[in-house]
Amino acid sequence: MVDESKLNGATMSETQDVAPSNILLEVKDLKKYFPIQKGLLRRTTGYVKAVDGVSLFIEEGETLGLVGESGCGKTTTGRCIVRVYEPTAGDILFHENGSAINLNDLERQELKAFRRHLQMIFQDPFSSLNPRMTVLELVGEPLLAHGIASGTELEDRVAEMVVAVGLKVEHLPRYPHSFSGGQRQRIGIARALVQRPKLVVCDEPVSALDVSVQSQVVNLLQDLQTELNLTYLFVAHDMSVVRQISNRIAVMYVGKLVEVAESEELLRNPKHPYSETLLSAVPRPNPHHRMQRLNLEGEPADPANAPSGCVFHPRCQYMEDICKMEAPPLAELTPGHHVACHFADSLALQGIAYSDSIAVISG
Amino acid sequence: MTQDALLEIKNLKTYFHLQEGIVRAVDGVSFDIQRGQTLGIIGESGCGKSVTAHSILRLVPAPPGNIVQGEILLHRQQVPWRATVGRDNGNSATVGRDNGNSATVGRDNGNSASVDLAQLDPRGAAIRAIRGAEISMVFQEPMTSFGPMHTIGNQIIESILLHQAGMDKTEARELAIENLRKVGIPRPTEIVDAYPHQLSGGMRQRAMIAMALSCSPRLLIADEPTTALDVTIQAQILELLMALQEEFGMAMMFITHNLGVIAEVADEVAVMYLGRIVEQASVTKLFDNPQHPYTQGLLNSIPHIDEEKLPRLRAIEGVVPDPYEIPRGCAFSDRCPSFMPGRCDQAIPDLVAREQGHLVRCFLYSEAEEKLTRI
Repeated sequence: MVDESKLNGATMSETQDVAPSNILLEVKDLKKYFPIQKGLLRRTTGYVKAVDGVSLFIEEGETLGLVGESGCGKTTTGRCIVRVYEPTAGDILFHENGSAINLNDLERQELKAFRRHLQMIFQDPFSSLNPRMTVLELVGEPLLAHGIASGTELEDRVAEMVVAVGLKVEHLPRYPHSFSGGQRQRIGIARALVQRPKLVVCDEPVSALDVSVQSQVVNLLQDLQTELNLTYLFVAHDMSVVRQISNRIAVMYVGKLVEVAESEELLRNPKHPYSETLLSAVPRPNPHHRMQRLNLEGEPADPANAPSGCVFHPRCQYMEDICKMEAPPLAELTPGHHVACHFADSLALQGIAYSDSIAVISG
Repeated sequence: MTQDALLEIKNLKTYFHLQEGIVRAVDGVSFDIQRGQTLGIIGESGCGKSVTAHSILRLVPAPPGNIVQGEILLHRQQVPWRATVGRDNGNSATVGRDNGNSATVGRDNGNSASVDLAQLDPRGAAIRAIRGAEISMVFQEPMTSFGPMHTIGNQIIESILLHQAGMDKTEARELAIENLRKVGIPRPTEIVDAYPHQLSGGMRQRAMIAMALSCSPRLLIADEPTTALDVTIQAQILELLMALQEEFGMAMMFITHNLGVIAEVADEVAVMYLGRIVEQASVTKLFDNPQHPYTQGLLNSIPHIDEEKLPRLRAIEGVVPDPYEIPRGCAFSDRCPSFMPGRCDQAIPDLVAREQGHLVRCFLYSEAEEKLTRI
């Protein structure tokens, strides 16, 4: 286990030299273990390795999509980055004006001051807003807390932000219960963006919304990104939505990254068997393309008791003996395309073909 | 109506009488489900898709809910002169095996061929003999649809013993294990004695399906059966349902908000918006040639992963209105890009056939209108 994490770290620092210099956030070998406690004395009997050696970077102004199934650690990764959770180990480097700040080293007070650069948009617009606060209070609270603005200036900034997310100034004195799910999500977005953060972690921001409202929020997030020069870490499970908004996509499985690549490259040309499985399982709104599905055996592994070697090996149809023994490091296969698979360069995997070529096949 | 309908719903209206007012959750819905076919019902929250399903099984809580009008006809036997030979082999086998069935028929005042479920007492013996036996249901949340205090096996066995007379406990247990095996649960002889919390979400949903199929239903109602599951598990469950449908020859009513899922499983699709069907067609017609502005809007607003270009999503404006503030006239009129003032806000368009088998409720295509019953 120890060797493997070193290996992961080493590969990543190599790639970092090659990567462009306008990196905003760099995560190195991030780990988050949750203790499993048992018995009267609550002794720790084991760990859920929710995030187990994740290394990634996000460039300024880009969107990195983080996808995976439930329990893969994608939300935990997002939360560790904004330090809602205390990481067990690892570095979270935030690059600002040529210098890097390690968020994982910051003390409480320093962190509080720094948080204005780092914000989060939550999945559930119903539980993430305090029902006893008006829109003005909800959106204005971060400005007050950080001492950025108060009085009329605060009201002006809140009004400006609320309009930017597609709500009206008349909505300011209202309480969350009088808004629909989509509007509440807009309030959540306004609250996150009002202090002009640099990095926003979006944790499944559209999953709880109606289909017709999802697209409104995706469009809004894209517009705001251009307008305010935001950088997104977009955590979601819906490949179609992630592709819509992301420049690059990182695929996570049981606490580890298995593949990172440019969005189109990952979709058309996946190199990890799990990415292939995930892509083939995406339901397509096209009745002419009915399930040509692949290896769909089994369920995601338990992060409290992860399999030896490559974590995906029990479900992998290309599994060989080495996969049971040795965990493959995340290595750069072609420029910008990182894969953690022993056979990444030899497997011929199936990505998503463009629909016109599908029509030819099915016709 | 057409060929070989198993279930025929005519002008169903299910209302909820609440303090805030009347919610017309289902407001004049008519459709058929053909034997062995899958009808997909698609719509957003509040469109009445689940209430329609609950109305069929008479599970709508009353009060406040109430079926105020309409018929829900279950045609147990094929009308003889329409009988088709090939498809229904599995079905006739079912009838033969199902001893409980003949007992049911007796209780229905001798009306053996067809029953109007809307007329049955929701707590009566007749509907209880149908629930879980002739029509069963798979719910969205597999955690809450099993009781936590009994093993999976005991719950399946209970349903078998209730509906299949002449079966003893050992046989029922064997059948339960057999069904668990059919739905792809590993080690069914052990899992049969597991409690629901010991299973993962995907496994629980499989067990739910095993229970739903334990009495070889004629109709399986699946209400968002994969919404709470991961994509790879969702794909497994969808494939399982379709394979089982082929094996048992049952009809399915598949409710979802996911256009991708509906495209995979449905033969016929009905699109619902605020209590009414706005468009209905075969799955290929609906996706290739959507007619209603709402259907078009839905299809445009979702990202298509297999399209080469990545256009900006064309969102439908506005939100689904509050059930107490449904716009006058066509319920979609306040969000519709083709809104015609003086027409759409004055009357409700009728559901008319645009072409053979393609029904649309929109004034772009229809002159006919329903009388405005609400103000």
